Amino acid sequence: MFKKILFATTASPTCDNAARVAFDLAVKYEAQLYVMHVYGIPTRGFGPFATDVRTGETDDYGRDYEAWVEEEIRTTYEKQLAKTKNCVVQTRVGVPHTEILRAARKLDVDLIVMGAHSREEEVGATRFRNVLGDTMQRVAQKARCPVLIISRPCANCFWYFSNIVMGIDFTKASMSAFLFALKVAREVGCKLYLFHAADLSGVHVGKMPGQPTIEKEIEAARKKIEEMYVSQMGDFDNYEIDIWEGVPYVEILKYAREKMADLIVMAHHTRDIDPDEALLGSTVEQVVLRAAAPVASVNRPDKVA
Amino acid sequence: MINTVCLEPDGILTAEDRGDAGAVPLRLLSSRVILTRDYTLRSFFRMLEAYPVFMELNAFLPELHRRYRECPAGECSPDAIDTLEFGKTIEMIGFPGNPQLEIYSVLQGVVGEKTVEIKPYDIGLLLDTPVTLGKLRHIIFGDPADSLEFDTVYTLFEFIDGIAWALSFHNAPEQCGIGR
Repeated sequence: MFKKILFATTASPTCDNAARVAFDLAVKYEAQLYVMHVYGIPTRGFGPFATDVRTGETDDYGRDYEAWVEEEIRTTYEKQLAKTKNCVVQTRVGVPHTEILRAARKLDVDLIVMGAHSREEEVGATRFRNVLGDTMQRVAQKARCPVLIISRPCANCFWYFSNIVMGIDFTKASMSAFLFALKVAREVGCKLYLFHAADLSGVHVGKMPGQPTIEKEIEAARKKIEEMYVSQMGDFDNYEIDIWEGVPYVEILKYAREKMADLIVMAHHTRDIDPDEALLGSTVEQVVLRAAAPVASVNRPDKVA
Repeated sequence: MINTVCLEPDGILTAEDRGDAGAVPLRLLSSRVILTRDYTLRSFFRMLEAYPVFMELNAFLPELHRRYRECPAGECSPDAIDTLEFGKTIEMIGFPGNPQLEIYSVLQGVVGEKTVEIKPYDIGLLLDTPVTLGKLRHIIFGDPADSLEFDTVYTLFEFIDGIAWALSFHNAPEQCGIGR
């Protein structure tokens, strides 16, 4: 299912959960795993110094420094590397998201695995900051392949997972996400839950429509799911459709919890806009933050079917 | 002096200087919170039951309340945490990005003199843990090691919304799919 996987890491404890999933995936699917770490922004392109992207301090970089960084990464993931056959550790100097995207394109990977952010946040602070780090945002925005975002500990999900929840919002990107979810469900042989959260609050704050309108909307959404998505499933019949009304991210989290989802697949954003312009939607961000399962963000139709 | 509202263990609000607490609880949102002795996380949910209008303050509260209703009626307190401390943090961030000042609330576990993260605990495990109000922590230029602490006050809105936000991260499934 995944032949080449790129795991972009800071090699710090914040990426440990993502590392576990990335290595597990590579072992399970006998995929080629690229463990990649980008450090420092080069000064004046070819200068002998690099600016640390976290602290702003200037470091010398050269072959010795590069070898030291690579050694650090190998030490960090020593146990996992011992169990993984096809694994390459790479280090680069540059702007992290640019280098990750460049590597993904050049290596033609099927999946990028990343942690949600590069620093541990107190949960209170996440309300005010970019929930997902800038690097994560930009990679998810431009990547041609699905991006698996891991922000919570997930014990061996991809070894045994049996429930995929696909959050549907009827956009083009949502169709790409659906195709990815279907592909994974077929390959793994697990159940696919097609879920739509009907946000009926509208633009008039606090003015909720009546029950008949809600029921009508839900019925219309069900019909649309059957026409748009179920019609593409062929002989795959291990699925369930559910539509709940409410705040989308709250409902998806509730649903994923109820169904004990091992993977949540969502479109990158919730409106039909140019994928290059689309920042990760707030619904995806809120779900990524809190979901116990990994969240796959899909933005484009490449690499999904 | 700012108006105060006292939060009782049974969830009832008492406002000595405001006789209309029961009739119009929303008017108390800007009041300074005082927690009585024996106030626990369960008391917080009892307050939501006593004043259902507060449930509308945060999108996660109805679901959190539903989960609370499924929990045992007593003895929900982990040995590893002495108290839950609600606090406020002011953080100055200088790099990376533009300089900014952020103010946010924090709910954390306290063991002895140390603080611990409570995210790994399900709500049901924390219900009978005492809740206290902590100090305001001022982190200077993003370095948590370089911080100052101050006495401060919390409004009822800060308290309800802050706890709802913090508890919304306690979303681990009750059982893992492993082995099924």
